[in-house]
Formats: sequence, structure tokens, C-alpha cells
Amino acid sequence: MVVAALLLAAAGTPNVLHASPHAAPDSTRAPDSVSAPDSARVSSAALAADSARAADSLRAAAPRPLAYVAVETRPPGLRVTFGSVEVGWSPLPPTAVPSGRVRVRAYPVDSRRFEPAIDGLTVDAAPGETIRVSLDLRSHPLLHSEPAATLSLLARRDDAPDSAVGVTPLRLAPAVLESRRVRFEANGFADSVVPGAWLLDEAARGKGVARVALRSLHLPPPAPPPPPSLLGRKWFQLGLVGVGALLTGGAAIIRHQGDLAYDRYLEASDPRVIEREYDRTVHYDRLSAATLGTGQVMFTAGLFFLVTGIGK
Amino acid sequence: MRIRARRAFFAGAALVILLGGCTTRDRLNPLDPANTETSGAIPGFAAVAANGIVELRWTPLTQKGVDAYALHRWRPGEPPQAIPGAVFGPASTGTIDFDVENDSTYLYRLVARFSYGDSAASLPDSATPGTRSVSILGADPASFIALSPDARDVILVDPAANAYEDFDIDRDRDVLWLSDPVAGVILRRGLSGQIGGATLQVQGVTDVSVSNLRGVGWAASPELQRVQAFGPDLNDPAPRLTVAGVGHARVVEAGTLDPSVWIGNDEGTVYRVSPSDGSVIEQWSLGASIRAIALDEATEAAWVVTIRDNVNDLYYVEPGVAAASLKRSGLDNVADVEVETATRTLWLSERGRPRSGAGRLSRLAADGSTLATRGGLEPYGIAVDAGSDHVWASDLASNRVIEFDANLSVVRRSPPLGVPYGVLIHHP
Repeated sequence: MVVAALLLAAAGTPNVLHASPHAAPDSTRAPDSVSAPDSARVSSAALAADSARAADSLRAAAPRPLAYVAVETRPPGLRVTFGSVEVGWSPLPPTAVPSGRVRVRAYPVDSRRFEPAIDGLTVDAAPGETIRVSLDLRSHPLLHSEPAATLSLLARRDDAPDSAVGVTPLRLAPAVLESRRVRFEANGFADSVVPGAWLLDEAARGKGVARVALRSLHLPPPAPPPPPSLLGRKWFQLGLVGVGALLTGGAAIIRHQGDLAYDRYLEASDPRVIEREYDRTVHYDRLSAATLGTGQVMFTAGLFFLVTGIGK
Repeated sequence: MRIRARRAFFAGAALVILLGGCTTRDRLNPLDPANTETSGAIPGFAAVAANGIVELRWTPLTQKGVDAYALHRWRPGEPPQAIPGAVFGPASTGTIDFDVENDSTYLYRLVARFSYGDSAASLPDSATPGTRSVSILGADPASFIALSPDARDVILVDPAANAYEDFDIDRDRDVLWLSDPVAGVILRRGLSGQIGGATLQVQGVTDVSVSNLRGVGWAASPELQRVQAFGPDLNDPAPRLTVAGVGHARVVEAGTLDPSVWIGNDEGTVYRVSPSDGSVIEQWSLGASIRAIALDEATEAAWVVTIRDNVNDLYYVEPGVAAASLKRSGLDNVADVEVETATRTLWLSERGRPRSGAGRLSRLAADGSTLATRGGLEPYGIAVDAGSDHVWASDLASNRVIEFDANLSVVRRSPPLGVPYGVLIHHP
């Protein structure tokens, strides 16, 4: 990488070799070489000019022993600078720098999207030491609750106290949320404990906002039980029995009328009377049968519902 | 669960109501045109033929409004006409029409006149009065049955203790002789079933034949190995003559024109004996059991049916001729034979295999050739209608008695009877 090469030149070791930018450094031996520049990432002429100036500046200082700094960012793929020198894109493998205090920063491609976050860190690198810098520049989700509630991060252990972190609406770092559980507390509402990972997912789906609705302790009164159906009402069941008995008795009366009509049919000699009385007989018989059937069904149904209670 | 129980309950209830409403009463009013049995006609009307009269019977209607009954009478092919003066009250049950001629067919119907001005009629019934007396032996139940002259109506059923084996008639005195081998008796009855004479005790009697010449009846008993003669006094139960030495006599036929008596036995011998002293005039040995004899009285000869190995042979036996003449062989279960005197033809009844309806009735010439035959019957007893070339046969296939003409076309038939197996036709 060009930046690495410039740093090495500043350290008085102009002809050293590079390791692959993504290869893991061997922490058991001092790196004595750097990889060749990555032509794919130095195509910018402006960047080359900046690097040349940085090299001149470093060359002007007294030579110092080297230390190594590796940088990881969340999200990855961010531009990384050591001091004012841009050294590459995260994740950055261990990169040789002059030992001493180094200001490491990472920049997003679109800085407007960043919210308050740790985008830089100053480290003291001892000679030969490899320091790994991790920067979390992810968006902090906004936790919103209804109503506003106090947030506490639950302790990972039972014997440890929980830690209150604020009142909603509140932004919390994803790094905090992804491994913890959050309790929402509000007067008059039941506590709600929500996994931080769930809040992150909600925020991802809700354009950075995770909403939690708390259940009020003031529950509405229970709904009144539904009134019993008509079939389940005692007066109706008794009515069925009574009407059924009446219809059964009425059927016998109608049947008797049918018998009388049939007798008149048998005694008749006039074909018109024969036909009329037979039709009347059939009519009475059907009416009687229907009345009897209905009466029996109602009577039995009434008893059935009274005894079994199925109608309720 | 509750919803299912409720649905099942209401479905069952609906079914009960529907089924309950689907039953209807029978249309039993006989005057109802929708009555499937009467179609609105007056039921229970019958015209029963007799000798010179027709008896008309009906059951009074129980329906209201019957003012009177009237009778219509007409000949076939003519329009119905009211019989003048034949108007009867609503409670009347019958009348007799004397204004008829024998052997003429009449149609009758009963008309009920109602108070509301309408009327109803019965289905027509026909009757052919005549002198004929049709007597039947029935097996189920065992009985003697008398039919009207036209055989359309049963006028008498006289139950019997046992099925009769055979019967014959004393034509001069209208007395039937009925043999009962189980009881070992011969009963004498009038044509109306009344007692016609003393009961004769003949153990194991099988065949009975009455000579119309002198009113003497002959009875064969294979069990007693004899033939006995009774009469002419109907009240005398003692035999007037006994013919012994004729083996196991099973068949006996007494002639009228030819006064001799013919006897056939199980040993295969046919005897012709004198009716006065029982002496054997002539005898023929046919070598097989004798099953039936029919007298050809014009020539004083006889047709004889034998049985050997379940096959029947037909012989013609003539006095003065020593050898019987075999006319037919291989006949199938011959039940009866009868000679028609006028033409000297022989009627032959072959029953065939019992209860299969595969027998036949045949009319044979004197030489044994077939003049006519009719199958699809199970004929048993046959009787020639004296003075005509018609024959009556009891048919076990249809349980009817049928009159056939010379060509074996059906002339008339009786109503179904209880297994009729014997028939006898008599003109007083």
C-alpha cells in the first residue's frame, strides 16, 4: 500500500517488503517488511500528493522505532487515518507506524449519516507493540416508548446491579444493545424487559427508531359475560315442553277429525263427496302428523335442554 | 361438541316431522275411482250359472245414499239392457233369473241407484246355464268340489278326511262313489254333497267303477286281492258279489253298453269277468302292472295302460283276440285314459314329471296314432263331456279344470282350485 510505503520510508527502511493488506499479522515476530502498494487503492493523484507531503513531514522528524496498529470498524469499509495521514480502509491489518502516540480515526463515506459516535481514538503504541483499534460508528437507534419510561440495562449476572441509562426517547449504542437486555419502567405501567438485539432489529425496520408500548396497570374492567342464548333460558325450555305437550294433544284432536273425515269418505257414494272427504282426510292426517312431530320434537327438545344444559 | 349435538337433534326432528307427514290412508271406499281393486265399480257381484237358471248374488253396499239396485242383462255383442222389473231394495243380496236358456251365455251387471241421482255399476259377469255337473276331487285341502255348469264358479266344497283315490257316478241316480283307501271306505254322496247311501267298508280300496246299466258299483282292492260289487240298493253296505283269484286287483272298469267287468292287477293280467257271477270270461297277460283301463264299449274292447320301469305302454285288448295289441310305448307317467264314445277316439293324459308342468294331453285314433296333442300342462284326471267331442282335464300346472275341444283348444276353464286331480262330467 502506498501509505504504508511512505510510512516505512519515513522510518528509514526504504526497501522493505509489504504483507498482504488483509493478511493477519504474526504477533510473535516483529514485522520487518510491508507489502507492496495496492495499485487499486492509489489511483487517486490527489491522494498521492498528500502522501508525499506526509512522507516529507515524517522524514523530517527523527527516526523512531516502529509499532503496529490494526483498525476494525463497524460497519467495515471506512476510510482510516493515523494522525493526518490516511492509511487505508477498514478493516486495516497491523500497519507499521512510528511508536508513540497515534491518533486513529475512521470516516464514513457519507459523513452526514453519522450520529454521535466514537470515530476516533488516540493510542500510545510502544515500540514493537501491535495495537488493535476497534471503532463503532454504527447509527445509534432511538428508543421510544409509550409512555416515556426509564431505561435500565439489565446486569448480565444476577448479583450485579442493573444500570439506569436514561429516559426515553433515548439513543443507545448498538454495541451496548446487542448483548444486553433493556428494562422499560414507567409509573402506572408494567415493566417491560426487551432484548437489545430485538430493539436493534426493530430500529433497523423502523428507520432507526424502536418503539415499545408499555402495558398499563390500569386494566379495563372485564367484559360482562354474554347473555345465555334463547335455548339456554329456563323459561324458553319450559315453554318448549309446554307447547310440545299442547301440540301433541292437539295432534290427537286433529287426527280424530281425520278419522271422522275418513269415515265420511268410506260412507260416501257420491264421487264428489268421496274425493272431497278423502282430500280432507289426507289434509287432517298431514296436519296431525306435522303437529304431532313438531310437538314431540319441542317436548323432547325442552326436556333435552333442561336436562343437559346444552342450549346454554 | 354442543353445536354438533344441537344440529343432530334438529336434523332428527326435521326427519321425524317429514316422515310423519308422508303416510296416507288406503282408498278403501269401493266406489272410489282411485280404489286400485275396484276402480269405483260395485264389488261382490257374481252371476252363477245353474240348470235353466242364473243365480245373481251381490253384497249390499255399506255406503250411504243407495236407493235401489237394478240388474242389466245382455248377450255377448249386444248392448246392456235393464231387466224389466228387476229393481231391488238397498238391503237385497241377490235374485234368480229364470228367463234364460241352457247353453246360452249371458252377461249381467248390477247398477246401484243413489239418492243424489247418480248411479254406479259393477263389472259385468257372465254365466252359461246348462245341465252339466262338474265334479272335482281336490287334494289341497282334500275335498270334493262342485262347479257351476260353465265351471266359472265353485258352488260346493265338501271337505274330506283323506284325499279320495278315485270316484265315479251312478248316472241314473246322481250318486257319487268316492273311494278312500286310507280309511278303507267308499262314500256315496249326492251331487250337492248330501249322503247318497251307506258307507261301504273296503279295505285298501283303490279303484271304483259304477255300471250305469244296473246301478252296481265295483271296487278293486289290491290289499284284499279281490274285486267286490255293491248295489244296486244304496243302503245295503254288504257286497253282492266278490271276485277273487284276480291277483292284486288295482283297476276295475264296469261297462254299460258292454255289461262285462274289466279288472287289471299288479301282476300284469287283465281279466274280463261276468257281472252276474264274477266268472272270468277272458284274460290277457301283458307282463307289466296294469295302471289304467278305458272301455271302448262300441266294440266291447278296452285300452290298457301298463307300467314297467317308470315307462308306460298302451295296449288295445279285444275280446276273442288272445294277444293284446301294443299301440304306443314309452309314454310318460300316464295318469288317466278315457274313450270318447261317439268317435271311439282315446283321450290320454300324460302327467310327466310331477310338479314340472311338462306333461301333455293327447287324443289318439283307434290305431294309436295321435290326432291332437297339447303340451305345457300337467294333466291328471280327464273326463269326456258326454254327447260332445270335448274333454275336461284337471291341470296341476295351473290348478284349474279346463275344457278342451277336439283340437285341444281351450273352451273354458275353472277358477284356481286346490290341486284338482280328478274330474267327472255328468249331464242328468
